[in-house]
Amino acid sequence: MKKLIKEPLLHFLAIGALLFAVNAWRSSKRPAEVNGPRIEVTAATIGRLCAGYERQFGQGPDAAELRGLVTAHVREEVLCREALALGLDRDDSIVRRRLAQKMEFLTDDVTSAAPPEEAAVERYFAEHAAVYAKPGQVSFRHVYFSKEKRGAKAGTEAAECLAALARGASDEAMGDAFLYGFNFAEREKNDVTALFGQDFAKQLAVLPAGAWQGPVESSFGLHLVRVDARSEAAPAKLSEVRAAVERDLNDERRVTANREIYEKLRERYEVAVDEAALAKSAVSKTAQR
Amino acid sequence: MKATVFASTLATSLAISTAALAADEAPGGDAGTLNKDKAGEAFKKRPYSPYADRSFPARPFFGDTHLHTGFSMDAGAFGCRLNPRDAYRFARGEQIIASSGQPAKLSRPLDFLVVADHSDNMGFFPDLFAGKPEVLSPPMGRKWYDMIQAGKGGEAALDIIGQFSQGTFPKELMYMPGTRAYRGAWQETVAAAEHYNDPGRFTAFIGYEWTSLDKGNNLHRNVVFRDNADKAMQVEPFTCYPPLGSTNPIELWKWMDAYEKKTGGSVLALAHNGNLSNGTMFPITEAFGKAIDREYVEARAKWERLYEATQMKGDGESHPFLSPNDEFADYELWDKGNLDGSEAKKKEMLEFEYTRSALKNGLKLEAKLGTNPYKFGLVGSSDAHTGIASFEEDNFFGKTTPQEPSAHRMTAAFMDNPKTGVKIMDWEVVSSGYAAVWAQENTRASIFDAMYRKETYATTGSRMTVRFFGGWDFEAADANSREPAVIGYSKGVPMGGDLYEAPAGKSPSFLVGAMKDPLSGNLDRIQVIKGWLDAKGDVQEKVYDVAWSGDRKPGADAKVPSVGSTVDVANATWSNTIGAPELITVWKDPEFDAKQRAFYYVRVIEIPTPRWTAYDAKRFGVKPLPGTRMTTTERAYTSPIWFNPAK
Repeated sequence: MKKLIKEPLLHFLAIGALLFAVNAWRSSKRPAEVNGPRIEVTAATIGRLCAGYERQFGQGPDAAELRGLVTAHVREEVLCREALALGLDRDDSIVRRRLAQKMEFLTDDVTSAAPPEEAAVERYFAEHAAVYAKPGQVSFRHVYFSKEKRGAKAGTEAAECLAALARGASDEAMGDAFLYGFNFAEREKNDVTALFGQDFAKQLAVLPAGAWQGPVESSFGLHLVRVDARSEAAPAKLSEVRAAVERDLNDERRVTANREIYEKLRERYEVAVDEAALAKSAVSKTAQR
Repeated sequence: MKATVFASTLATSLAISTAALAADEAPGGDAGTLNKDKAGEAFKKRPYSPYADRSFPARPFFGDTHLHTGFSMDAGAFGCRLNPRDAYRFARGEQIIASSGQPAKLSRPLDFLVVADHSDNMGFFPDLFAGKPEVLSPPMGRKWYDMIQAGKGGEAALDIIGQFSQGTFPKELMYMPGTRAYRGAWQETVAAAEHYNDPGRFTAFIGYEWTSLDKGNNLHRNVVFRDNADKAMQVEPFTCYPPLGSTNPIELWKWMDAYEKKTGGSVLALAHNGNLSNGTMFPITEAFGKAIDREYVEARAKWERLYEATQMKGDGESHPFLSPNDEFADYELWDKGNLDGSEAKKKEMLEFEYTRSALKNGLKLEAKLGTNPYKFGLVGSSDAHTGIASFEEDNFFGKTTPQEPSAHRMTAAFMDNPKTGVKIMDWEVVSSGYAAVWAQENTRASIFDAMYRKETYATTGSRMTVRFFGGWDFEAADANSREPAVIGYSKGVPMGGDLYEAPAGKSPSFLVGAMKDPLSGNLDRIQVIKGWLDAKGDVQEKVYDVAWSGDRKPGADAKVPSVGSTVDVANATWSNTIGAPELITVWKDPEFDAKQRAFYYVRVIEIPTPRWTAYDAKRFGVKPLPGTRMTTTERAYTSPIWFNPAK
């Protein structure tokens, strides 16, 4: 059964059936008028109530609980039919938006019911290669000089340390505490920006590799930096990013299909807007700007 | 992906350094005995791998545990058109078009997101074709299948609709009476999280909000899954309407328990907006007509690992009525009434609504019932109903779609209940907050586990970094060590942890440090807030200034004077010429009593910066209403460290 539920073809056939149901309902009169005062709680309804209960609580309802579910269902059905008969659904923005949303669910389901063809995946990947490219990375060490602790001396002390580093001194005992630590391996520029700020990330990007440099200023203070390795952005292979490509292609198709369907459905209607009322109702906002 | 590399690099480097150690030793003579001094020395040397000293969390991950999209009924009704996929795309740094039609992008990506749409009205997946595999084969079905595969989904859908209206749809696929056929938003929510979860780079959690409203009092909880779709799809979210649902949190905890038993998975819950619960969020005597007993406190402690201490509908850390000596307690409060404004606030409700008083009352309940139900970690999150998790003051997209950036949001009313006199203006909506989590790696499992152990802190929207360790042996020099975290983890416990059994004559000491958000204001001060149960069984609290910028001297009341302000409201600018980019210190409790239960947490306060209202006034040229707050002091609240006296 589980396998069956995953079958995409089945999915959209299910949607098909649903559409049929929606259509049948739409073309019929209000249920209370059609069915009279009869509410049938069929085996299918009971099955659905049981399944819903089981999905929430991990096991099915006992007799008393099931009776309670049926009572609640009947109550909902009675009120629902009366509400529909009164037309309470018509001017309710929540009901209307929910229905509109369900129409989009249908389209969403149809578009994602079948996996895209290989050629389409390859084409999409080629067109969006930049999105999937592996970002450039940098590995670096740094020594931090806190302006808060050292005040105006921070700059000269950093310069002295830089000279010592050039003579081969170890960086391990130099500088001040830094909550993120001192070794940063294979970091993307975004990551450096998030940790050190934009200016530091920009300066780091152009520092030559291999030797201690600086001081470089960050949002926190001064840093001596040694870039150890740097890799430029490189194109990805489709096999490495296939899942993301398929996801994005499906998303694009879903958006396109929703728009197309709306446009087609829209063509079935003739829309007349009371332009005079529109013009009269609009508020001038120029004063506020 | 990156995270897996990280883990394996770590393992490899450890293996290498052990091997290298043995090799180094070999030439000296007896390869069979390892000289302990030399081994120690070798281990102190920095291993080749730069990751090797990071088996502990090295950086906080920032996210939102509480974002609604158009799938939430009220968000949809307000006009939110974004869905969970849009929300995840935005959070991971993509530019999207907001429901109001304007482009939106984060200053920098978030690390994780929980789309927590309301649990009610989520529907069931129809089981239309149970036992009818023959429906897979009609030729028409195959045709549509091929169309969809080729990217013509729109055409296929229209064709299907056409077949229906002409009555030519295959009979065997027809609607089965009694089956209410609609697809669940829950399935789509889970699918969206699965699609955008990208281990190592961006974590998309599965979650939902259990929207319990009891007589207009907010008792909401967000439920977060550690698990993937295979487990999460086995259940439906717990709802609030009987007979399936309930508004009583005890029933939610039962649901959580049943989920874990059924699937072997893990979930946790976060409550939020105690400030709108009118005294019912943190009860100490009874709830829903039942006494607070052992069962209640144990279940609450087990399932509610975190509390959302700050968000858009008001900050919930502390209240000036409860903490009259805390001059920073009066921050972005919403204390006029309950969630729907149907009942006005009374002062005596406040004690059961705010984070600090709950932490204090938890100590009391622990003394009485053996378990502290309010032993939660702290996070901030948003409760935005826009699908847009952006809470920086200069990039604020509001609480609901009508409050997305426009010239009106400075002057409109958010809620107005003339009967109770509860009126809240749009300008009072807070641009807050984020959850910061000290996790080893950016994955569902790692972040969830860090949430579970409460190694988290709340921020009001700024991304500052805060470390907080408690132990018995921290010394002033530890604050000057180059890597405080290494010392912190080796000598103490991190935020969210426990201290037991005080060594004779010792007081707990704390290593606490903070770095500013590179894009936000400097830091004004770090405070430690202590709460304890005194010898008489009464709860007490005290706020200590422990580190601050510049050479300000504490006054006679031991309080550090104000840092001042550089905010130019008219131009919505400020300068970091006051405050400090980082603060770190070791603080020892000067008034410790080893017989008394206590907790300690940290509050970090930024210098004043322009509030979102200042950016709006400047950008839209709108005159603010009288009384509108135009500056803010962003802050962070860490999870407490609890001291548990010997029994």
